[in-house]
Amino acid sequence: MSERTGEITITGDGNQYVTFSLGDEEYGVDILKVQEIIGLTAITRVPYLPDFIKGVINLRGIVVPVVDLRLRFGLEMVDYNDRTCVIIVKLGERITGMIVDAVSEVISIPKEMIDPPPSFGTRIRTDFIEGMGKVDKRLLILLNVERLLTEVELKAIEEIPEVLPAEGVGGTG
Amino acid sequence: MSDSTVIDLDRIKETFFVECDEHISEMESSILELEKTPDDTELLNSIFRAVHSMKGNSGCLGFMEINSFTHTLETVLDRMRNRELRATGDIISILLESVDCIKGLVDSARHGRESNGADREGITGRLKALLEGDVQKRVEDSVPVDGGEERLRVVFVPGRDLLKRGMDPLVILRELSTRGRIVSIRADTEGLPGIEELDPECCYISWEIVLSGRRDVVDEVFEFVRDESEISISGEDGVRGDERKPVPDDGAVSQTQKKVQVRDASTIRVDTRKLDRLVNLVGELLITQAMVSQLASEFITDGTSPLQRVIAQLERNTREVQEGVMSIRMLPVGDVFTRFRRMVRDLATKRDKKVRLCISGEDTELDKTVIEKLVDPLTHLLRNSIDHGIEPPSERVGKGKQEEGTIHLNAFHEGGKVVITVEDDGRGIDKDRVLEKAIQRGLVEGDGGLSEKEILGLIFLPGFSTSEKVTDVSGRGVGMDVVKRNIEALGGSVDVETRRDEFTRFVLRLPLTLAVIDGLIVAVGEERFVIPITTVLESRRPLPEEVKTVEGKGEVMNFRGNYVPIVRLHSLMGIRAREERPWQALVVVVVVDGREYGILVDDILGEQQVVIKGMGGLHGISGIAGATILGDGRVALILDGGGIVRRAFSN
Amino acid sequence: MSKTILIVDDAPTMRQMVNFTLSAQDYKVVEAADGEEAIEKLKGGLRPNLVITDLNMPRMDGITLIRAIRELPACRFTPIIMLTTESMEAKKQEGKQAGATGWIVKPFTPEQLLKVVGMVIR
Repeated sequence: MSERTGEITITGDGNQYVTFSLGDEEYGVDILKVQEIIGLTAITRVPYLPDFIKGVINLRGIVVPVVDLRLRFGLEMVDYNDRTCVIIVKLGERITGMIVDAVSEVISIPKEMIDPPPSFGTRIRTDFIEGMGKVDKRLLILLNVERLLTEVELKAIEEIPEVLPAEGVGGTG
Repeated sequence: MSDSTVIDLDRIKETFFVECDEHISEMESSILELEKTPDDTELLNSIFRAVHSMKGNSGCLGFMEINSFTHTLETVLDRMRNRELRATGDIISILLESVDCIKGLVDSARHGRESNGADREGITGRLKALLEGDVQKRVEDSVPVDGGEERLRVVFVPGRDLLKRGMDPLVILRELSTRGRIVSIRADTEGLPGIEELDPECCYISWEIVLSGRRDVVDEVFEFVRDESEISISGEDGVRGDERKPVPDDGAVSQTQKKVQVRDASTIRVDTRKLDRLVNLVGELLITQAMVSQLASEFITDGTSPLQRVIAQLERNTREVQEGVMSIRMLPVGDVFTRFRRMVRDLATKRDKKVRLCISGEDTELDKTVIEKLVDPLTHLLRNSIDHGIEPPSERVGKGKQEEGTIHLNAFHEGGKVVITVEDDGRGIDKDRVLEKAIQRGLVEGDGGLSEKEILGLIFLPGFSTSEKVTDVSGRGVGMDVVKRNIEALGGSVDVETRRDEFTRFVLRLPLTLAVIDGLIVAVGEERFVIPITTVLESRRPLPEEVKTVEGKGEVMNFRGNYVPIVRLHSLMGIRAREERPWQALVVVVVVDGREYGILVDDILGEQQVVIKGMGGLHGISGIAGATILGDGRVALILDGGGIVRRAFSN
Repeated sequence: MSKTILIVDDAPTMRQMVNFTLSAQDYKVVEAADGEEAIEKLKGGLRPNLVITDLNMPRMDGITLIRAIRELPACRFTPIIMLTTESMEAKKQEGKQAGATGWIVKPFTPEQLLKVVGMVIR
């Protein structure tokens, strides 16, 4: 077993995944991390952030940042339409939305049907991938949302101006 | 059964620790007071009570280290109460070190750690030496002996239903007789109704008792009847239990009364998390109310509509609920202020300076979160005053000043804000030197033609410091820029005023609360932004001839005879505005760092209280103070004036 | 004649400590492990000069007990001291509403107990 598979937590017969599409590829997110799926609502743009952070939305009184996964993965931008969805992911106390082309279904993938991420040949960064799930003849890219969304946070924190140390102040020196 | 015992014990322990914290801070401030008025019996008593209570409770709970230490300390304090030891500077220092020791012991007990035995032994040794008379300074004969007894007039009007709770007023009178020497008792039967109306199960009689005894001991007798009865305990004019004793000065009396008052207030301890939740819920309520108002406005065409009346009522009620909830979080700043007494004393001693800290306005209330965040900036300002403001005694005398410098810490309300001032009567800030330094450090070009105010503002710039040597206290990597940033993060502002060789005064203006602000809602293109009202001077549509482009300064607007730089919010935010010509749009004039700036917006939509919300992981974006949810459910960003200006003019 | 004090607490250690302290001062102490047992004893003719009760007990809690005692004609004016585990004003007020005379906050020392007893009976 490679080191990477050690990071996958699989219980019982296998995890359930929410699957969605971006372009012609199919992805999966561990259902335990998904709080809900909503349609696209009004997004308030927040300046000075990377393009893929589209801004913030009002989720029943909570201000939630939303990430456009297409942009995150460097795919071409498409117009949002009525199939566009926001997958609301909850990691600890932090809630983030991921904008995807469309949500398809919830499926169970037995752990023996999950391969470690390939070391090359994928369009997206391999450290965003938890594993590759095989369902019938389809191949699902199972995402490591922690990694994916922690980076969002880091980007924002980089904005904090540096604190310059200075010693006291006063009349004379 | 055994489970519940365990839980109970943990809770008792937690209670004990919380109480210890309170006792410790009370002790500390009383000891510092005692230094000024070493013969104040009431102060000694309050220190004694705190130690006594910690001793008793620690023993019950098996914290034997605390128990044994407080026991030793209690013995010393008892000697002091009996006037066998006097509160000299040495003893005050030992007492303060004892407080630190207790702090350490309690902290260790709380976290189940080993305590530092060496420290404790050292201080225990010194306490014991006091008891054995090694360092002991016997009270001289000339010092009046004061057992704390005084002639007291007690008026006791029992609550009518006292008997029904099994309390007998006579028991109280008898108990009084054991706690002091009764001089006279007079029963007042005025309140007795006629026989037909008389309820034999009610108390109608009140008493006036004159006795000599200790006020606190007498006061305690009424512990169980305080709430429903009227009790007043006052010193008999000029006559004390012992004729040789001096009449207590007004300060001592008012302090005692204050203490009685504090104990009278019925309070309840609430988990702050519950309060935070309540504040959040009220935030939701405000937003919902705004939504209802907005929706209703679409239906209301007629000013007298009942719906409109109800909506207005809802608005009022919501605001009242909000104010009520916010007021629960309000605490007097005095708790934080008194903490500084110790710091000022220690630091002044270290610097060989004489400094007196005067505190006023300690009853001024501020939101708990604001208070917590004030500690660091205030600490810095005070350190700064001691390090750089107050001169060494010899220098002060040379200037014809009093040897002892004074730092005045004051708090008061002003126009919906709380103002805190830190003022020292030291050497003042040398403006020439400030300018010189700023030029040296490349913070200003040429002499910049700066006003005095602007020169003083330079000390708040990052990287500025007029101090050449790093002192161990002031030089902890925080400068005035950090003070300023901390205060601004609280939605407040810092100003400084100074006069050479006379004073330096830092003025902190703070909002009453952090959770809700009054905001000006502005529109730029399709977006809405909130500008905190506190920073707004006015808004106007300039005439075309009032707007100019000045070489090197960019676009400026004539405002009250000055040219203020214009910040185009749309370009700063990277959005498309509806209108780019200032004379067709609106300019909101804000004050940032004591300077005026104009923010160009499309329109002003109104003024509204908004609830500040976090933005998930997106914090620390300069120029954006947070987000809020408007009445239509949309998220609007709250602007941070300082950040906006820095962004606009950083290049 | 020595005075009788009824101590109601489910924790034997607490009953023992109170009993020990008060007996030493020539009080006669009767113990009950919960509210129901206390009420039984009172209905059975026990006439204490003072009742000391814990608040948190199985079967019948202290507040209920205080109310029940006040319902008994013979005990309408009997002093009652409640033992509270925290200096929480809310609980004190609840107890006072129910008819408690005084209170003592646990943990307490024997001296504190005697002092409080002195404040309600003599």
